[in-house]
Amino acid sequence: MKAWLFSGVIAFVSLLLVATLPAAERTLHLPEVPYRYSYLDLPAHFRTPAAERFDNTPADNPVTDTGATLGRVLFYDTRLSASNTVSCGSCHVQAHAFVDANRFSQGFKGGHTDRHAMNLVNLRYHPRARFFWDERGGNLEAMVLLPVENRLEMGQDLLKLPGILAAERHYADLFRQAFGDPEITNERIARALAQFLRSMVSYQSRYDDGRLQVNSSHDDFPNYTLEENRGKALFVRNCALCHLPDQDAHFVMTEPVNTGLDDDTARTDGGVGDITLKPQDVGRFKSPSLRNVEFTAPYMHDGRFATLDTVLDHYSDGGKNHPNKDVRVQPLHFTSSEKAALVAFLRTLTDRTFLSDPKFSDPFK
Amino acid sequence: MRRVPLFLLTLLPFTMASAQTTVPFDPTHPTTMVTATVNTLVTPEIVVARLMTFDRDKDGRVTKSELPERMQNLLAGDVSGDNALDSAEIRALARPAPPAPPAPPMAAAATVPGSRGGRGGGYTFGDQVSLSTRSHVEGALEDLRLDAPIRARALDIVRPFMDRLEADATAVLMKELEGVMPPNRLETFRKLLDRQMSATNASVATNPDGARVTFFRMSPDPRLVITGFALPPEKARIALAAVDHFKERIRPADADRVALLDELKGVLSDEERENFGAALQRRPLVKANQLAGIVPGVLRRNFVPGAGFDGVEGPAVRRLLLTPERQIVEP
Repeated sequence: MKAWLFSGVIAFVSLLLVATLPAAERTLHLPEVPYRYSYLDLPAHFRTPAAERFDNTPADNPVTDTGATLGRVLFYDTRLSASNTVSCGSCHVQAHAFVDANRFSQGFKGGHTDRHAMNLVNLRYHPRARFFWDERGGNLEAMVLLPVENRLEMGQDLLKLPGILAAERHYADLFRQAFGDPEITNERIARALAQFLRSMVSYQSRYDDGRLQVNSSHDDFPNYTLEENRGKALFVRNCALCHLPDQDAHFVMTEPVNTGLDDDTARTDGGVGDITLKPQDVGRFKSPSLRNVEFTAPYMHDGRFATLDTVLDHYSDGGKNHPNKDVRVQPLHFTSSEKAALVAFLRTLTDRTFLSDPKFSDPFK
Repeated sequence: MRRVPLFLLTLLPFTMASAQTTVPFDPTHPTTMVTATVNTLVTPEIVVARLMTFDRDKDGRVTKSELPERMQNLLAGDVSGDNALDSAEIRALARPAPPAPPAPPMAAAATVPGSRGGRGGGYTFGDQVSLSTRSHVEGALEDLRLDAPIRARALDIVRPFMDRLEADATAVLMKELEGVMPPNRLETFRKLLDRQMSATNASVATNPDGARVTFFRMSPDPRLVITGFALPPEKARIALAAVDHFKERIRPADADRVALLDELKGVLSDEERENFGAALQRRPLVKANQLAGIVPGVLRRNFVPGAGFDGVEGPAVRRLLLTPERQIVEP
């Protein structure tokens, strides 16, 4: 009995120590002149009215250089987690287009999530401005603090967070530059994080280079191989209705969809339906941008598909017969060479500048 | 001579789709418009069963601690105040809500948390919008990205093949309609059918605002023409059934595809024939939520200036389609 009590006390004290220890000293490296987050030299197909309609930037929180800089620091600061060990960037890794290469992410206590971390590519261009796989997050300003306070992911107490950050000298300056005074509030933290996320725009892929050289996404791109152009033609004919809706810049879906991943309505993740409890929403999930999809494996809300080939197998077969399966998900009967062409095309959506741009990197390294 | 606004009649299916009318999908009925999001076979009872899978202690109630954190807001539906949801409370939450007001325009919706931005609408198979399936068949060939001489040789086989397929189907249809309607009606029907079958059916253009649109040459759906003839019920039923059979026959069936691929031996490689055959199996979907069949979509490359439209620019097409003189004149 005594031994049990002793072990318990030791464990409790250890936990207390871990929780109260300062994060390992990390030096902040920021450029003297902030990176330019507020201006993007977007290609023409991003600047059409049809494409601009996808922009969810609210009038009261435009991206500023200083605001996004603060957001970047917050994004990579482990102090946002209760254990001082996990930051947003722990699970949203730049080299992987801001997803976790693991199927499920490890939270601040070592527990694992039951969904794959969504990519953070071009969140600015999700016209419904709803986030997470189940779209429970209202807009970016509302969404960003949910993982911070989530008891599995970062576990931070939002009531304490401003005080924790205030103890770090650099934040006073960063908040002053971003908002005019050094006051730290959760609202400001959220706004800065949202600005940083909206600044993460991928627009320098080979697709973008090619699109600039032709009149329409339907035309063959001169910078593509024959296989890539064949893949693009297949994509345009069979996938673009959902994944490139009504314009040529944003590879996002405008609504959550049930793609027939499962046919068990009771025992599988209900997605949007688990949040709204509306029968028609059961099994519907938000779809992330396909930009940089080459690097966002594993795929789907639960990371069940390790490769793009297996994703294409799913759409080729037409999915399972969930009663809410979207009518657009029909068996596509792709041949092996068609799948190879589609994968070749999808790889042209990779934007290597985005994946290594220092303005999105960890400033504590 | 009597002016019949048959052209306007053709807008009917698209108007239905744009209003998101609930139209059950009937795969046996080739003219049925299908919609993406309206119907569900999931019942509130299924939602209750789903939520009850979280009831770990099997006490018939789901408590906050039993739910994943992301779902704990559902406890707002706890009307009994016991900090848990029972079946009745879940059922109440799952009950269909009254119809929502129309979604705001996309730009406005973007910054409104909780709004359902984006344009809704129905979807339909492209071969239902365009009576002929030539655009799909030739598009599938186009997607192979063949060298020009090979493509030309392949088209020399594909086009006559489609001519024969459509001619045979038309001959059968006209035979079936003989005796069902008077000769003058039959002649009118034939003219309208020929007009639609010979037309180039669909095209995609990019509007000045960057929006990509697909538009279709609109001719009266044969079913609507038959309906407009106001035949006696039994004859109308026979005529409509004949039209449905016709629509199925003008799509290359399995045997047709095999025959066509066989004809293409020596022109296309085995891999190309395999890909062509796979593409022919697909039925491309198009969005049909915009007026007059001008829809964003995936069909393309078949616009021929002078074949029915004045230009490739979206609003111009819209104006053209809505001009009263586009009404079809019945002799």
